[in-house]
Amino acid sequence: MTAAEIVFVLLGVVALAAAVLVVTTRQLVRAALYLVLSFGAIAACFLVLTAELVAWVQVLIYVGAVVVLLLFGIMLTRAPIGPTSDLDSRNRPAAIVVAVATAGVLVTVLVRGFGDAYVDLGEPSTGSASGIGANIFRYWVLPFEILSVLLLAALVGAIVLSRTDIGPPKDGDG
Amino acid sequence: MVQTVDYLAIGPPLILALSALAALFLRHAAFVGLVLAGAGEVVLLTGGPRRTFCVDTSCSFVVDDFTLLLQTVMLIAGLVVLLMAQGEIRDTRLPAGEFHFLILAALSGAMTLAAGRDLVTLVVSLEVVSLPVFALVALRRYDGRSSEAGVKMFLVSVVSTAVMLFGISLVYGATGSLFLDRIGAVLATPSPLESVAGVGVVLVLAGFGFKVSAVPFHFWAPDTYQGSPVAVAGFLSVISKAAGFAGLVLVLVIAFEPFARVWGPLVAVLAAVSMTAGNLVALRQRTAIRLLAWSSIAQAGYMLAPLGAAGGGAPLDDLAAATIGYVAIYALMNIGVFATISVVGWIGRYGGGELDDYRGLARTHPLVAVALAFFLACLAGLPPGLAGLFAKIVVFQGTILGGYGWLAVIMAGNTVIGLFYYLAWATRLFAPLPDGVRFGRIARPVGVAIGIAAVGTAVMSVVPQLVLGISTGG
Repeated sequence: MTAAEIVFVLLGVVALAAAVLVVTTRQLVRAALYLVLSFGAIAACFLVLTAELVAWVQVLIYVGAVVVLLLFGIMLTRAPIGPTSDLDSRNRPAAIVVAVATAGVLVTVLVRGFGDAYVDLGEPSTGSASGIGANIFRYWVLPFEILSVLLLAALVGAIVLSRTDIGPPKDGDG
Repeated sequence: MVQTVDYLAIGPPLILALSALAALFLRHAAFVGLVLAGAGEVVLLTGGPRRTFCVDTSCSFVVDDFTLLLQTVMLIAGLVVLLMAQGEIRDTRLPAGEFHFLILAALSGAMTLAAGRDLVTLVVSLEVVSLPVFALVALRRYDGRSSEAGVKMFLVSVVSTAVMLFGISLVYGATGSLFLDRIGAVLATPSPLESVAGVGVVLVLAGFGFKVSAVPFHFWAPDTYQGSPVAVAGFLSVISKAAGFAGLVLVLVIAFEPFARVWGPLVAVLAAVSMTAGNLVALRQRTAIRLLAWSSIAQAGYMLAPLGAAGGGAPLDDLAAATIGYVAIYALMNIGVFATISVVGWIGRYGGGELDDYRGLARTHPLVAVALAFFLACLAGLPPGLAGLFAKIVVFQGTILGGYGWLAVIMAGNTVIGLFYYLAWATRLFAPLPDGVRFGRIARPVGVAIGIAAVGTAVMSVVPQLVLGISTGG
């Protein structure tokens, strides 16, 4: 095993353990913080794979935006800070069975399919910002432009859902 | 290398996206945009196939007969949705600009999806169809059921997208390409990664199953239809579903063709379960909107049936043509039903009303009642609703062509069940008017909407060859 492989496996173990803790912990805030750990470990995995742009996007969007949004959500909805018993649903055994079965199928298929195959990356710049940028704006312009419609629709949708003046006229306000 | 852009080919969705922006500020911009996009379709119809956003020989955006048929049907359905929404927007003080914007944005996504020929474009435009609809479903904020419907649809849709993305990543890992035609070429040659690609195909199929609300991925549909404005329920039931089927047909027929023996039997089972469960539950419904929700689940089963026969070795193009023909005809007749219930259901409260509320409609509004009865006859596949009958025949033909006799038998049984509840509804229209019941006046836009849907369905009844027999790549 090379040093890169050992680091990769260790990061994978950290990501997996943190992900398991996210769903097993009884405290909402801790779940969000374990999520940071899991996302961070995955970002580091991307770095080991020389996909530096994806790694920073992972940090910026998932750790930076999504988890902060989660924490704000917990804060603003006055969710209990201490341990809560209703974080465990009664479907727990069924969920465990489904999760283990899905993981079993995927791991078996991936290991059998790829095994210890190595992919030759060619020039090392494929994962860099300039490489990905050139790819997006040369070959993937169409999805990029469609995304602009998606983002605008998300913005307008969020604004319209926060309006309070919607509804049939009530008595007295014509 | 710089990609060249054929602006005429991307014209219709581009016009819709731009007019969506204008519709935020101007009242009639939405209708102007729809008419301009329709003009663009007419220009495209007169020319040959167009391809743009190409990398070497593979193109991301292709306008062929398949694309044009779906885009035209979606445009007509979108026009009907906007027209029938006018009354509800006024009466419940929904924000008109935002409503128009969200509908047009979703519509432009649906039109792009019909033309997309790579997995990234398909997924992104599928999201453009779904995301504005979350906001539209939850728009009636004063009603708790509306918010519940929005959240339910949001969760299901997000999960389905995640499942589909995982499947796509597996397919990409196994084939090294995202263009549908290249994936098809790679999958056709044997490789040690076949099992990975197979799991990817199944996951993508499951993701689309959610989008077209096939059983067992259907449980969000009835509650969502009930909680949303009638026009939005019509959008979900027709345009979202047509978009889902467009993506499904493109992915299965072009990219996953070599794996037909893997996905064929799965789709066949999905089809059989969807139509049976949908029809049996629809039998017990008392309200119009829930009946339509369950009937649209059952109709999704009919649409899947020809694709399910793909495992039998029949030519895939014929099977895809049967599915797409059914989708096109279903879109016109089903949007017609939604347009009529948006009139009738507004007596007293919103959302389509109960089936018994439709008693005696023919006494006061004979034209509307006849139109509704015609649409229902089409959905049941019974003359004079010849459009529905032709669609059913094509689907049966496709199923038998693939050698799936058992599926055809299940379909026949389900057609009889469907006949029962559609006709039970239609006969109520012609019952004597109960005492003290009055139907409101029909607003002009809604009348126009019903008229467009009726003319469209009538044309399909006379010249069904317009939409039948059109497959991908033509």
